[in-house]
Amino acid sequence: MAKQTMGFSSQALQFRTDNKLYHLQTPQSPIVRTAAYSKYCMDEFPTGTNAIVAVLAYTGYDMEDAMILNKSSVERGLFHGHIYQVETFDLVEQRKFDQAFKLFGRSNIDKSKNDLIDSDGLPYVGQMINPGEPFISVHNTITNTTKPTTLKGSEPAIVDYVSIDGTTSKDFMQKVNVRFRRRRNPVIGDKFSSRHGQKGVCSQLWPDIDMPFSAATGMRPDLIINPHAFPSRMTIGMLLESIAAKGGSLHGKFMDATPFANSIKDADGRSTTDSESLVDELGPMLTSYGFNYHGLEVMYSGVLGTELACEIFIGPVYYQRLRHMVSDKFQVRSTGTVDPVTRQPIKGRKAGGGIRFGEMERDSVLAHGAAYLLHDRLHTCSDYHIADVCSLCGSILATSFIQHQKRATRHIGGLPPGRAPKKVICHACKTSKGMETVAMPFIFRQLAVELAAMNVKMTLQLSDQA
Amino acid sequence: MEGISYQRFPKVKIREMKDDYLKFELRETDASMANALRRVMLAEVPTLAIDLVEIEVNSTVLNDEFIAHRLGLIPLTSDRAMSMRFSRDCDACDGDGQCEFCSVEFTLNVRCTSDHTLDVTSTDLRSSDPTICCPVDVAARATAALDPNSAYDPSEQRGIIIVKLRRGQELRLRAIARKGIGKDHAKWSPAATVTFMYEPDIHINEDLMETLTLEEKRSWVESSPTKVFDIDPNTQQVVVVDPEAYTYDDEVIKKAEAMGKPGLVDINAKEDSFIFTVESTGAIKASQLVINAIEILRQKLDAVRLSLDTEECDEQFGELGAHLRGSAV
Ligand SMILES: [Zn+2]
Ligand SMILES: [Zn+2]
Repeated sequence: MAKQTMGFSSQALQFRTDNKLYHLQTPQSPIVRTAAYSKYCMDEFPTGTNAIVAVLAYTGYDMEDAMILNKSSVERGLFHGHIYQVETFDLVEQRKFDQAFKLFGRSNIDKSKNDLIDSDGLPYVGQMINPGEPFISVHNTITNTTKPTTLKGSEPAIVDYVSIDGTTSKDFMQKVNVRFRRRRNPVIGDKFSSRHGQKGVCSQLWPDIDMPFSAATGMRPDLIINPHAFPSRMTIGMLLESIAAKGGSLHGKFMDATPFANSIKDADGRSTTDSESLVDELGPMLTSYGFNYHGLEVMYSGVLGTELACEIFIGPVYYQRLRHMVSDKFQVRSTGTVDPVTRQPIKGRKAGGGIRFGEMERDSVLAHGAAYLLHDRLHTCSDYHIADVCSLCGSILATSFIQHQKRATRHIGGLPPGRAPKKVICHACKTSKGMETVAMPFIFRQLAVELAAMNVKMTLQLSDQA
Repeated sequence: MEGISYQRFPKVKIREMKDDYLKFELRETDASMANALRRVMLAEVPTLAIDLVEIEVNSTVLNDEFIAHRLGLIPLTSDRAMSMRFSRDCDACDGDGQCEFCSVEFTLNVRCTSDHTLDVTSTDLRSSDPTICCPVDVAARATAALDPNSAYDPSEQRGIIIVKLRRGQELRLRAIARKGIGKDHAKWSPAATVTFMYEPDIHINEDLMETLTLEEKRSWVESSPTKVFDIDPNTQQVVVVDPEAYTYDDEVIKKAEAMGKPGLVDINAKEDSFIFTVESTGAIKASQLVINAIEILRQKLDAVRLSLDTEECDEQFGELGAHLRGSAV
């Protein structure tokens, strides 16, 4: 899972121009760690935070691998992060296309963008750029025009760093890297995971005062997960980590979690651990500080102030923030672009497309007998089309509008002329007598056209019976 | 309209009081009142915190948002916060939030010129009016300087660190501190921890206890992770040494059952007595925090009582509405 984490991936962030880099603002060193963790100096590149995790079903917002984050914890900096993204502008590369010599520079005529673009045509470091706003501009010496580049995407970015690559062409600045920084603080829909693969999605930022609290210490959890995440997955390691980390933090020391530790022999051939069972080692650590042997605590409801019926399993667990975030994934469409051939909504999140309502979804709605819903999804909200059909020959392709001759419009009683009714004629039957309108998916007309291209004629038989 | 009065007269007894710590008993009231007090202390007692940062120069290793966030979390002395205005409803500056009635201005101007790493701390924040508002550690130093007997050692205190600078790096900014509450953002919460527990009522069944051997007594006493019981070295009787150390974990009850002596001890929570522990961030004194919380709770109840809707909603509120308006006489 470490590959997917937002961590602290580099110590020289300031001078780097990675294409895209996820960065956690305030990482911590895990309390529970293995020998390999220390051996490979993972502390230099931490990947998460020690969060106080309570295992309970508190509000229903923690069902099905959802998890509740404490709003105050997040406001104090829990899991705050950034995305660093670099855009490169190479004018030598651009010259290959149009043979025009270009320079970075801003327009002297249009001064409206001067608060975003400096006199050298580059953005100001530290400036926030909103989507659609220009941040860099290039002057074309042949056409003597200046063309700014605008910020793509749907969220604002901050200019973090601007670097200039070499001076290849006679000391003229030709290649520039602009590094953007986007704020990515936790929101509903972001993904988190413990090191045991217990991944979950944040479902609420719950107010601190409504979180359950421990009467003995007054602590409120940073994070609540549902107990149903455990039985089927059997991630006992996470429970042990919680107890071990609790004992470790009470004693002020890191805990060793190297697997197969009791089979590792030291120089004298003795096992490096004394006890038979890990729980026998961890339990007394907790009781020596007045805590329950098994890591349970009596907690009170934050809303009512009354004791919760059950003792709650609570302790620190090293949690990682994963790089899958809603702001990169959410897709929404009411109306928008349609495919020119099928007139159905296009696909793709970036293009503002819809989500496919496929065969299986159709089957599901059919099985529910939700005919109107089916009609709405597959027809009204898709390629709804009203076609003129000639009932004499049954063709939908031979019909066409007649161009009205521009007649001298006669004003009747000062009123504007009423719109002349559209006249449709069948080219095959040379009459407009049998014209009917029929609602159909546009793709049906497309089918007729494609069949016609293969010399297959499609005829429709119209009837009034429902 | 005749109604039953729910009025009670809670009693407060202070056990221990320090500037940033308060332990008190709250008696003759119920859990709703105790929890309301806890919630108000955590989320609705106003303090001052840095809310707006204008960065002029930042060549440090941390980015602007990071520094602004760290500045916001520095606790500022907020004794005046109760009488200050929220910037959103300040008439003096039309909600601009930059006038003396609703804000305090800070400036920070540090540049590292030596080869040693320079720590930028809360002591580098210059307040426009240190008597009203300044970082808590600066205030603590100032009061300690006035009192020669104080145990405060300034050489041990480094201030709250904001960022570290190396040679040539500079941080120059202007910050506005405003009044706010913990509900809006955790930085305005004056309480580090507020918790309460029900006072336990512990009865040992002496007759049954005497049937145990000393060894059994000892193992029973030690079954509680917290030191609630002990054995009197002279009489060898089990005595309750600290009832409040009991965490309602039922360990001793389970142990008694495992020993085949159920009913050895009977522990009940007193439904109307609470022991509060309040820890303050230093923004306001712990004692003042409780007083402010009660004041805010009263204001909130007044808002309900004085609301014109209350009278119209008599059917909804019933006798509670009448009680709130004080017509239950
Ligand atoms: Zn026809
Ligand atoms: Zn004002």
